[in-house]
Formats: sequence, structure tokens, C-alpha cells
Amino acid sequence: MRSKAGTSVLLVLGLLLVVVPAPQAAPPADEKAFLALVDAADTPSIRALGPGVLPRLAGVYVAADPARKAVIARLFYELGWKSAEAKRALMADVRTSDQALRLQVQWALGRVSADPDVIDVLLDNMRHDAVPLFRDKAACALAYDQIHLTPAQKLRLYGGLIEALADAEPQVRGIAALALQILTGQSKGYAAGGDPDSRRRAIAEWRRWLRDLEANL
Amino acid sequence: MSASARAIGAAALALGTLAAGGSTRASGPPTAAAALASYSFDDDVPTGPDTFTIFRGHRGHVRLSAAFHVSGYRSLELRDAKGDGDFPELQGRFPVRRTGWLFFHFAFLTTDVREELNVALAGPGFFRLGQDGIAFWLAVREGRLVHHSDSIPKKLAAVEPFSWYAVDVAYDVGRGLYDLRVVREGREEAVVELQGQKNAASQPGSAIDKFSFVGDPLGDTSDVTYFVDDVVIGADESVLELPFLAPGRRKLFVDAFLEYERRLQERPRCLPVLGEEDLRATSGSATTERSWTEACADLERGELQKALRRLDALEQAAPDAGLVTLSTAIVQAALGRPEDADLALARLSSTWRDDPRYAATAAYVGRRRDDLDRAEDALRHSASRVFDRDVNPFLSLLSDGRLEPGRLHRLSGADAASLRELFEETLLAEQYFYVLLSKGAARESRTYALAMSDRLRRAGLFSALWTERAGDAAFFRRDLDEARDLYTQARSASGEPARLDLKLADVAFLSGDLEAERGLRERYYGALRE
Repeated sequence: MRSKAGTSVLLVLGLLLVVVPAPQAAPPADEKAFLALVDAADTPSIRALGPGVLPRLAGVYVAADPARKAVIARLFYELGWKSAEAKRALMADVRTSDQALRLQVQWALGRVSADPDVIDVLLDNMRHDAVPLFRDKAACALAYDQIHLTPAQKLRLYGGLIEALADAEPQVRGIAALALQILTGQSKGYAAGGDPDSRRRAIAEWRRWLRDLEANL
Repeated sequence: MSASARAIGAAALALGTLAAGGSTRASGPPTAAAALASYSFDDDVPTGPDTFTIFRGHRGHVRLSAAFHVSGYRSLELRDAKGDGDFPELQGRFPVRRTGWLFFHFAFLTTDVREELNVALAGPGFFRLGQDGIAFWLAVREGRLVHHSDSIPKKLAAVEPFSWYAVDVAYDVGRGLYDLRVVREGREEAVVELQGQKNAASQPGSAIDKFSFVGDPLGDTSDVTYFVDDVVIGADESVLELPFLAPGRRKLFVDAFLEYERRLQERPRCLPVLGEEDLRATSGSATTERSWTEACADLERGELQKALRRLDALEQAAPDAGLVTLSTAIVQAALGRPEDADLALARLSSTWRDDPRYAATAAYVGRRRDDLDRAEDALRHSASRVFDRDVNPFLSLLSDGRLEPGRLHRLSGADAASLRELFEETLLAEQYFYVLLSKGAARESRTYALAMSDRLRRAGLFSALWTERAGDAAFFRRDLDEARDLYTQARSASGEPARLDLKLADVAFLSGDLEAERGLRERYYGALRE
């Protein structure tokens, strides 16, 4: 199932990026060399160290300045390995006002964890953050980066997006609809700028769909 | 891949009936125009530019296989490898459909139902959910069939390993709805029977122009090996009329033998390529295949000397290309030189003796000679030198079908004339057996094979090979109990029990014991993987 260029297209039901399998853990390099790999954003070399490197990477993250944190968050994203330590570190910055760091944290969270509070905080940012860009990128993260979710866990994601279709803020309605479109390939006739009645009907369709999804778990 | 998997002709559609079940759509006779794309992976002649593409993957593969198949002789085997960053794929294209009905038929067999596989129809938007993207999506996950309808993965029936499943999809392009029917081999009741299902992303009018068979392209977590056969896409419901139930989905050895033998009786010709190894060459298999195809064209035109010259040159360049040697045997026999045909057959005996094409060629060579009765004479005379270990350097041809190539050199040395006669007498036995079988004289061929087995045993050379051949003759007569006994005896004495497991699986199938058949298939597959 490839695109015209022969590369895979991955916009399917939440499994939106290939989860790169973790190799066997290798002994970490010395501190200075390790920090050099981090600052160089040398993902292949860090990947070669194996998942055992994640707690150490999280430790470096906690003590780092925002610029280095953003680099490490990007590394977490690219590695795509589940890690409680990484999630804990990233969650501390999920509402930071530092733009570069915020975007990297929001994108990385779903690639280190499938915990429900990750979905919840991203949905909350998508709906309530004061900065439209942060809201928009939270929706992007929900659409593309929740790579570890089981089918049952996806219910929470879909449910939150469907509820956001009724948000008073037009931008929120629009990005929620777009995320659903990306995840499912359909709109159920919903238009964020449509009249309230047509939106209500479409939301009712989405809620029926969610019940059907739940019934098929 | 393009050299080995080709579109089948429309004639293959005109067979049998698989009831569509509950459908009210009009049905008519199959027509050539009905098929937009069709593959059974069996044709032996290229039919033009392929309409599909093979992606082999990094550690996985896509290749033809004679191990399991529904129709014909071969299926396509896809093997994915977990964590290799790639996936194998058969992707086919057909003219884009934006309205009307589309009918999709295929059969699959998976070896491990825990491993994921995916099959899809999609449009110009490729394999994503949405308008003109994925239209139909069927998967095997965690032991179950799953179809994606209305963006929801919906669980269907449990799947058994080593069983063929026939899948029929009748797809209403304009309405974006489909009927789905899945039948397990040997069962009359469908395991899945659904009507009016929303397409993958509930998109009416979503265009379709391609299909895809893959392992796990998204998570790269599948080690699946599965087989696909009889892929047909059509604009007519006749596509759903491909046979699947009896008379069986594996081309049985004797049936394949008889078909090849019939082809040779019609006129001397090359027999089909069944695998990449048939024309194996150290210097470019494409060149070898092209030259072999030209030699075959010469043979079909009756230009025998020209064909022989090409084949001689090819044998020098590609000595391991067994099909070239087999073709040489056919040409030599057609030229009235059975002794030279014998030499070609003997060169193949170690590696090809279990192949129905070899058996058919042996019968063809046997029919072209006028001294075949000598095979009976050797058996009748207790002191025949054919069975004398001290005298006959070619005796292994009879006992286990193998012959060290070096022994053939003796035919050009001292005592060549005497040895050549002995060599011919030795080879006559199998030719005689196959001629009897090809004439339908199953009882006589069985008796002869058992006598050969007995004669070899008395010479201190117990022969699983002739016990197996007696089993083939019993199978030919559909004396399944005796065939099972003889194959079981041969299996216990054979150094290659896996091959006999496949023959025992055929017996189990014809006996209606599908569970035993599945177990034997599984054992055979396990032996292949060791």
C-alpha cells in the first residue's frame, strides 16, 4: 500500500507513523559524548543505544534550558519509544509559553506514551489554550502522533474531538473537524462554519459513529 | 517478477459456480470483457506488460510458490519481516472506476493467523482513508478477519491457518457500499456474509483503480507468510463465479502429469516455467529466459535443429537451468534420438525426478521409442544385469532416482557401447511406468511399480521411490486407501518425508478429511521452514 513514489502512506486510523522498533539496549556513552550526541540531535546514534537511554535522556531534559529541551523533545519524537520518564518530563512543559519547546512537547507526547492524561491534556490545549497556534498544533498532535494507542484508547481521542465540534470557538471546531477527517477520512457532513442546525445533525452522526466504534471493540 | 507472474486468460473465468449468496444483482456468463485484471500466477507465456507491481520488502519477499494453490499450479507467497522497515506488496492497477459495480475475487491462505496481513482496494488517492483513497480494506489480525467499514475496524470470523479462504466483494462504486462473502475451503456455509456495508471511509463515489496485498505496512510488526491466488477484478458479476469448492485447489501430481503429457502429445513443446530456479543462470536469468523462449518458439514451429542449437548453447551458459535440459530431452525425442533424450533426463534425475514435468517428458520420450517392452523383460529375468549392483553403474537411477553426474562420463569411455545399452535399459523402467500411467493403465502401472519395488528389495535395494510411484498409480485410480498406505510406507523409508506429506495431504483432501489435510499441510510447511 504505497504512494506513487513507492513510499507508504500512513494516514490510517491513528497508526500514523511507523513505530521504529527498539533495538537491544547498549551501554550508554560517557556523559560528555552523550551530551554531544544530544546537542547534535544525532537520532541514529542515540537510537543505537537502545531504549535504556530514555531515562537518561529524560534526566538531561529536566535539567536543560528550553532550547536543549526542545532538541530532546524532538529526539523523543523521532525515537518513538514508550517511556514513563520521558512522558513525565514532557508533561511538565506541556503548557510552557516557549513556542519552540511547546510545539515539540505537544508533538512528542503521543510518541512516548499512550496514557489517557496525554490525550486529555492535548484536548484541553486544543480547546482552551489562549494561543491559536498552540491549539492548532495540539490538534495536529492528536491527528498524527498518537502512535501507541490501542483501539479502546482511541475512543477517548475520538470522543474528545467529537465533543470539540460543538465548541463555541470557530477555530476549535475547525481543527477538531480536520483532525477527525485526517483520522477517519470523513466528515459526516460537518462544516465548522455551517449553521448550528446542520452542525448539530452532523455531531449526532458522529456520536452514533462513536457508539458503533465502541460496539466493535 | 514480471517474468514469472502473469495475467491469466479470460478462459480461466469460465469455470464452475460459487454462489453469490443473497445477491439480487443480475448474473450472466463470464466474458473476457468482464475481467479488468486477473491473475492465477500460472501462465507460462508472457502476455504483455504487467499491470501489477511487486515490492519485495527488505527482509520479506513476494514470490511464486508451488507449495499451496487454489487453481493451476502456483500461488503468490508474501512474507513480511517484523522490524525491517519495509513490507512486501503485490499492487495491481486497472482502469479507474467511478461508477457502476466492481467485483473483486481472491483466495488467501495464511500460515499463522496471529500475524497481520492486509488487502485493499483503493483509488487515485492511494492508500489513505478518504475520498478516492481506500475503498475496501480487509485484514487478518489476532486470529480474526477484520474489515474496515465507515472508518471502523469491524471484527468478522475467526481464521484457521493453512486453510484457503475465498473472498468475494461486490462493490457499488457510486453508492460506496459493498457486499462481502468469505468462504472457507470445504465448507458450504459462508463464514462471512454481509450486504450493504459502507466502504472504508464511508465515501460514496470514491474512485477505484488499484488493489494491494501486504503484510503490516503501518506498524512493521508482522512476520506473516501468506499465499494469494486467483485474484480477479471485474466489472461483471461473473467474476464471483470462480470455482472454489470441489474439485480441489491443489493441482495433484497425477493431474499435472497428465496435463503436461497431453500437451506434449499434441505437439512437442516446452513445458512451463514454474519457478525462478527453473531457468537459474549465473549470468542473467533474463537473458536465459529470453533465449529459452526463442528456442521454445523454434520447437513450436518445428525447427528442431535450430531449437537444439539454441538449447545446447544455453546449457553451456546455464548448466543449472533444469528446464533447459528438460527442453533438450523433448527436442531430442522429437528428433527421434531417444538415447540422447535419455542422457538429458539422466542429468536431471537427481533434482527433477519428483516434478510432473519430468514425468511427462519421460513418458513422451518413452512413447517415441519402439523398444519399451524391454522394461518388462528386465523385470522378468531374475538374472537381469539391470539389477546387478556389481555390473550396473546406473542402478541408483532405479533405487532412489539419483545419479552422480560423473557416472555419465563412462558412457563416452571404454565399454561405452555396452554401457549405453545398459543405461537405456535402466532408464526404460521409469519411462515404461509413466507411459502406462499416461495411457490410463493405472492398474498395470501400479503392478509394475510394486514389482519394481519388490525386485529392488530382493536385490538388497529397498526403494521408497517405486513404492511412492505405486502410490501415484493407486492415487490415479482414486484407490485412496491403498495410496495412503503406499505413501505412508514410502514416507517412512524416504529421506524426504515433507514431499510425501503433501501427497498424503492430497489423499486426505480427496477423502474429505480436511482437518487431516490441514495438519499435513502444516507439517509440510514446517519442514520447508526448517
